[in-house]
Amino acid sequence: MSVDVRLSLEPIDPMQLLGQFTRLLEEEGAVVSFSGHARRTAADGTALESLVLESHRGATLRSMETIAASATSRFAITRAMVVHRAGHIAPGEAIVFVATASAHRRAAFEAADYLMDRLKTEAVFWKREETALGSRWIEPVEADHADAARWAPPRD
Amino acid sequence: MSATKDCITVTVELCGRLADAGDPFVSVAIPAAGCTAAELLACVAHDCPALKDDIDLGRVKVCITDAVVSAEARLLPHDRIALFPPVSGG
Repeated sequence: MSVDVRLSLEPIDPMQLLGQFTRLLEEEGAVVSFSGHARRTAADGTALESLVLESHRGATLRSMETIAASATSRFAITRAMVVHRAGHIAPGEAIVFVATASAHRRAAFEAADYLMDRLKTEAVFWKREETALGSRWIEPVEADHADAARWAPPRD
Repeated sequence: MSATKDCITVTVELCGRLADAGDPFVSVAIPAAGCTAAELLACVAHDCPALKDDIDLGRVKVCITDAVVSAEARLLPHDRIALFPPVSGG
C-alpha cells in the first residue's frame, strides 16, 4: 500500500501529479484521478478574484491523512494520492488532486469518489471567496453533506 | 503562558472566521490548575464577547496540537491551543 498525502501552499499541476502517480504503478490495472478547480464566479455570481483556503498547521494535514487512511482500509486500492492547496488560489487553478489505483476499476472509482466526498466536508479548511464586493466565508452546502452521507454505515 | 497565583494566561489561536473580529491570537486566563476544553471555551466566551454566541451554540471546537479534542479533554501547560469554527472542507 502506498499513500501520498500532501498540503501545498504553492500551485499544483494535476497532470504532473498524475504522471508521478502512474510512474509508480506495478500490478495495478486501474487508475482514477480527479482534480477540483477554483470557479471563475463566486456563489453570488460575481467574478471571483481569489479563493482562500485557510489551514491549520498540523490539524489540516492530519485530517487529510485520516481520510486517506479510511479510504485505503475501506476499498481494495493499492495506491492513493491526495494533494490539496491552501492559501490564495486564483480562478481556474487546481484546489485538489486525488488519484487512486487498484487491480480492477471499481475499487479505484469508489475510493476516489469517497475521498472527495469526505475531503469536501471534513478536511480542516476554512474557505472564503474574495470578490470586488468583499470577502465571504463558505461552508459545505446540503448537497456536500448528502454526498458524504452516502458512505455512512447503514443504521440498524 | 504567564502565571499568577490563581490563574495562568494561555495563548489561543483563532482559526477561520473566528479571527474576523481582530487578532488571530488571544490571551485567555484559565485556572492555574489547568482546565478542560469546555472550561477553556467558557473562559474564552467571558474574555472575548465577540465569540460568545458561536461558543454558546456549540459551533466552536478546541484543537490541541493537531487534533480536535472532546469537551472533557484536559489542557496541559505549553499545549498549542486553537479554536476551530465549523470546517469548510476542501
